[in-house]
Amino acid sequence: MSKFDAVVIGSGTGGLSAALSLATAGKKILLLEQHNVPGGCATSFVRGRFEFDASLHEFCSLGYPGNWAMTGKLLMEKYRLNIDWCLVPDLYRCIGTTRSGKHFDLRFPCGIEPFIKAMEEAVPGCEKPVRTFIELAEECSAAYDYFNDHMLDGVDKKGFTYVDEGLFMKKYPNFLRMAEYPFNKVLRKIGMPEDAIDILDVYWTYIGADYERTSFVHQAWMMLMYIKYYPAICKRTSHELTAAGIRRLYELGAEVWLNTKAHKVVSDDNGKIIGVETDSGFVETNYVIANMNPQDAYTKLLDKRIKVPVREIKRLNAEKHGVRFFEAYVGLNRSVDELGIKDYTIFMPGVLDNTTNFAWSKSMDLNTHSVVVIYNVVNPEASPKGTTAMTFTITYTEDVWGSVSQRDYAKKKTEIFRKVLANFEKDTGIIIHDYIEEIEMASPWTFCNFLGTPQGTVYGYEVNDWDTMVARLLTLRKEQPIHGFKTCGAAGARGDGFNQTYLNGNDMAMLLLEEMEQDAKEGK
Amino acid sequence: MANVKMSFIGLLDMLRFKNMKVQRDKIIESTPALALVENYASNQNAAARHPLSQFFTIEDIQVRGKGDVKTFTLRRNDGQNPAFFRAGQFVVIRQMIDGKLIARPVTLSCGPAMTLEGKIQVTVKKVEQDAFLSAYIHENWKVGDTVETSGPQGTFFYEPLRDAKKVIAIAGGSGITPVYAMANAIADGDEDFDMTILYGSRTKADILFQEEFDAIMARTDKVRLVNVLSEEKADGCEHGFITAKLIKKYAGDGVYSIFAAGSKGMYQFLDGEAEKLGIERKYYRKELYDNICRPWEYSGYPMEAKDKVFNLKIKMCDRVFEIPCNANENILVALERAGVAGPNRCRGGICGWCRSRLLSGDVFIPEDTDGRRAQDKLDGYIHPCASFAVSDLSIEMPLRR
Repeated sequence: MSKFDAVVIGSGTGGLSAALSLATAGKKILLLEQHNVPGGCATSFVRGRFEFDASLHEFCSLGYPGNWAMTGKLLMEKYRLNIDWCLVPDLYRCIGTTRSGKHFDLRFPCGIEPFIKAMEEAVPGCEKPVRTFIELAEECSAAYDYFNDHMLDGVDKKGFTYVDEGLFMKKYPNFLRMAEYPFNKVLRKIGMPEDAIDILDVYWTYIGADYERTSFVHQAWMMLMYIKYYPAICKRTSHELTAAGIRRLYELGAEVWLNTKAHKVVSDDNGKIIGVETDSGFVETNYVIANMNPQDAYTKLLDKRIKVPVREIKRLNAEKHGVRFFEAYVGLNRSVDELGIKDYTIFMPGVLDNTTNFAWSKSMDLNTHSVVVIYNVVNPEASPKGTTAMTFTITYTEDVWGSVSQRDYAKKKTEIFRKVLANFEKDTGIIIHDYIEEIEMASPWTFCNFLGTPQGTVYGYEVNDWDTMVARLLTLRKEQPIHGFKTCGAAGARGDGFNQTYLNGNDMAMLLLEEMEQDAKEGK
Repeated sequence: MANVKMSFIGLLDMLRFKNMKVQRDKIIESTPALALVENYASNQNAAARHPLSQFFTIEDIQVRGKGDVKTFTLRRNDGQNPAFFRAGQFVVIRQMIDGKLIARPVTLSCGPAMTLEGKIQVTVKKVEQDAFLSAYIHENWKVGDTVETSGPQGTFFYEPLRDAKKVIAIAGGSGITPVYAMANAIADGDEDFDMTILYGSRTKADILFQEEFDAIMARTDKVRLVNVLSEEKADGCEHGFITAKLIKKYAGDGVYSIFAAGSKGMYQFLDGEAEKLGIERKYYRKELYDNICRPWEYSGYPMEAKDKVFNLKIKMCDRVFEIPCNANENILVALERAGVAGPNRCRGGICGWCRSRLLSGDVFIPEDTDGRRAQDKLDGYIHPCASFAVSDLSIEMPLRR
């Protein structure tokens, strides 16, 4: 029988990160994956002569050698991954009409000064508040960095994450002030014109949030990371990112079992974890991290002898499932030059109004918001010479695909894509429909199939007014109450995104390592 | 440094920070602890669409052609509908033969609407070369038997966003099955395109599904069948091979897509004809051919490996097997011969379901069936169904599932 220091269930970004973190700490690790390829969302698939990235649009907070940002430090310094990154030089192009009725078609470059200049050109008079915004974002970012380095140091008397308030008051007072307020509220307070707010809100699908309700800190940090450090993609799709992690795990002596589902985390009669039942039989371990939604972990994975505290059941009842996607992967038999494509990311919300976008995302018919990513603009090797690989993403806030019938399913996907394609051709003037050589479409059903998440959600639980990233991090330990067992991934405290789930996997590994040490001390 | 106070008295902002976690705690504590939902509509739909396996009872067997082709009607055992599919897709049949699990892809030879009646059809031609499964099925499968398949797989289906509205379907022999499925789907309203079928058979007696096609053509004017006989002249049939000239004759003017399903030999001929027609790659789609064999016929094969038998070491989770591996057969076949059940789907190198990690040794991979990801090529992963041993090998392979 095989025996491991810890077993990680699920090799999505969170699980892979947790496994890397534990293996880096010298633990003997088994990483289990129910699919035949690792990576969860960080994967790719081949159609004809195209290899499509399943999900990575813009890796956030990477940085560059010598100046890695928060996630870059973790991947490149702690885990020592070997990845061919491509930096994305532009933030986005966005096309749409703001609440004031103005139609915009704007391009924003990366880099703080070029970004400020472009904002001022778009909405004259906004330079001052944009500068203030960047300053606040810098402070929040520095505070998040500090918080990130110290949040596992200890807890206060009530079990909340210990925060050195004196230090924060002195060094990061605006972080303390901003943390509880929604993004748009802070922008209004610093005098941001409404049109500029609509433009800055266009990133909403990257957090899946309504910025009238969602924390300033989270969005400001993400935007600053993109503006300052540039978004990044992998030369050979996000499968390269996953493959780098797997290679590193092998170097560290870990086992990776693919096509091997974990059926049950088994405990003894006292609720102490003793192993995992898998497709390959029983594996002995006392420590498990599951890269899955806690709701599924508690109902489907844990031995019934392990008592899940009532607070956890209440919490999961209180949480709202985050967004899910319709995704079209399109391979064109023309190059970006032939087609006149210049932009990597194009936000086409229809209306540049976050609140309306968010409300309409409850409906399959009203939803007009799409994000277009054209890989070859940044990575000429994204597809063979003379071709283009691109994706279209539509975001849904409810399980609207749940009511589609088996028979209508394919037709529904076609209908949705036709609408998006028509919008794209109309808004950009770029005609592509005659050049589609390969197309694959993924709906929430597809994500249910590959990720197994509730309703096919990709972003875990929605971050909103009461359930912000900072509030969740302050409650981190309370929400992983089962000794020897942690869940990680997008449904974790940091929310969605490659960077956040990498960080969250590491957080959970650190908590587990603490418990392992504590048990070793107590001779358990 | 900016000094932004949100509330009138800046200190209140700080209090709000302190209060955040308390507030969150209060909301959580005041929520009722209802039983957690285990399954949602989209999860149920996805599970029905993409089952790992389906079990059926053989309800009916029809013998076709010269008796070497049989159509099996399979009813799902659990009373559920079989997974809905796209016409042209296949399922993998999994069959225990002499204690060894043999798996092969077989095209669904019915319209997807048949799943709504609880059943599907598969048509199997007895092929000498593929001694593993087709012969067994022909000799052993009888009404009332239980059989196992995968869920629907494959990408050989009509895609309105990509393909021309006018389709020239070219089928050779039993390659007619996906085309027959498409014709049914058109007649049932599940697909919407115009399809002219150029169906190559040796003689009239070899034609499959003629009566069924006649019935479909009576229901819809979107399907036309043209029999092309290579070894016989007959009224109402074309004679010879399916050439560029013949394709042009039936395609007429304007844009069209070719959907081809047949043998490797047919594709080699057709590739030349497609080139003469100057057809764009996107308008020329071929069904995979499974059971990649005779590696020495592909360019770049190291001839000194031919006819050798190598040692193959397979690590599967915490077990290790050592088996002989005939250099002339793909690695998945070697596993099957040895009774080691590996992951199995398209058998054509493309789907990647059997993706395995090469730990040591060398393999030959024919270029035109190399469906690996770019990073996997660098990291030494192989698709065993389209890889051939040219030395002793050690690989790590996932479980079957």
